[in-house]
Amino acid sequence: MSPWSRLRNGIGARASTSCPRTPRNQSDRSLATTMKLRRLLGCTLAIGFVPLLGACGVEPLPATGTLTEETFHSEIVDDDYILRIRTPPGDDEGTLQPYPLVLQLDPTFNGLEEYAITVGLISQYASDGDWPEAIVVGIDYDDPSLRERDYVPVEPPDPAYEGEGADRFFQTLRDEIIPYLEERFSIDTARRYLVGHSNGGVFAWYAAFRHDPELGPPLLAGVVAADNGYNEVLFTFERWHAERSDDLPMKIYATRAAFNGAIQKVGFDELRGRLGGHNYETLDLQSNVLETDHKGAIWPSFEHGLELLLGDTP
Amino acid sequence: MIESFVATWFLLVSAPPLEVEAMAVPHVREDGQKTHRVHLQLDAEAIFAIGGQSALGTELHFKTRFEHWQTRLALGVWDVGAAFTYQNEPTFLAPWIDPNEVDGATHRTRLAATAGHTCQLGHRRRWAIGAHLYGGWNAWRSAYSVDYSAEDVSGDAVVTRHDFVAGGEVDVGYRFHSRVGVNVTFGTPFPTQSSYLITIAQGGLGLSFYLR
Repeated sequence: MSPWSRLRNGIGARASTSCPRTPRNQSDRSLATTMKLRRLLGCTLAIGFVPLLGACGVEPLPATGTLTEETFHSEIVDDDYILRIRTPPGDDEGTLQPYPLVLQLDPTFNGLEEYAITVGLISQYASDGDWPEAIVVGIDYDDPSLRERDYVPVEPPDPAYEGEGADRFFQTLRDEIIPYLEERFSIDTARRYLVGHSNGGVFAWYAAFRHDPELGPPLLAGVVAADNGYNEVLFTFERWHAERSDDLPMKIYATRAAFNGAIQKVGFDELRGRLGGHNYETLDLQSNVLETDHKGAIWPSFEHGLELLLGDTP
Repeated sequence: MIESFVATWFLLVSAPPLEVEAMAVPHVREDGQKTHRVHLQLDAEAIFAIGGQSALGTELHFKTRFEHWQTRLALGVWDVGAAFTYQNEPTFLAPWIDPNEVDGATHRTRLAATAGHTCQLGHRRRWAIGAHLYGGWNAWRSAYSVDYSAEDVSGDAVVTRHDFVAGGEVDVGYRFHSRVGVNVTFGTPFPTQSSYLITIAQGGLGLSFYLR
């Protein structure tokens, strides 16, 4: 059974600790050997010269297509965002065909290069024909620490979803950023996805639970919630969703890094259990426990999550 | 008169020669002369470390020390030994954790063999600057209970990992008493595993006990 099959079947396929890139033209065994050798070499150099560097950073894969950035002013937040936009190769304008839209949170926060990782993954998998080409948009800030303003739900949460924090950022996405992107590019509205890590993952869960059947299909067809925390407020949003809906028609790929420890494990298991208990008919929830830490969770979460979101629509 | 003579003679005979006494001290000789005496030393420190979050703990480092070289102002000592380290990541050092909802701690225990070299410096060789390598077993244990009463979420979990750990440590010491000194240490493991498990670095302040 391949790692991809294990993932689809919900069996915990563990990712490597810190060098998780999986070149597609290698077998799993040679891949593991290659990764071990790279890791050993990198760590040997680090031991010899710079013990404090941390283990084995991984460069994002090369990007294809056209990368641009522009300033976007939000009337709702009354602030500017930086939109980092990747359009597919051969279609600078992004208008030749309807593309999936992948929204990336925390594009450049803390040097983690989450936008570059997602763009690199989509570039390679799409050029291999395994995933469809997609338009990727990183929603960034002049000061990336402003993420805290946008991603975190306010407490106590507002049942009308009219608070600041995640409530306001969701409104900004729904009413300003996504309409702007869909006006400018050719985007398949049934294939909007959002990828978030850490507090970006919290917002991904929040956005999923904003589904309201009375308002139509979900704003997003799928989310990747990578290694986020599970505070009480997230369970409140989950409960509110369950009280108004008997389905959650989307794909969710959730991960946690095992080295974060027991607090996250309790919340992660509980939320998965609650969603499983609802028996939502069209929810495709897949999750994975990664044998790594918070930073190490980014790449395998994005890679496996995007495989879930994009992999069945070449 | 005779009584006084006998008493003086007895003192001279019973007291060890000055050279022997100097060689028997539980630290390197203050006159800088090398001996073949094997010294035993125990360093005990309170430590602060950074791993997944901030940690407090203690380290006991037992060293067997062998004098090797000398110069006019320094004496070199090799040592081998063992170090026991315990670190605790309490919730009060993690302000993002609500202690009303979360109870528990992360524990890190390390038992390592050590080897290193120390330069005893100064006119009385009381200053010490050393560097050590260590390698051994590291156990990481995250044990917490969570209670979100408003949403009826409660549970507890334990996550453990065991790893080989190796690293380096430097220390500076000053002996202010025949058997006691003070020391400061800074150590970091080689990044062979996530810092959550083995830490990024630790610093310590404590006492050195010169046992032999």
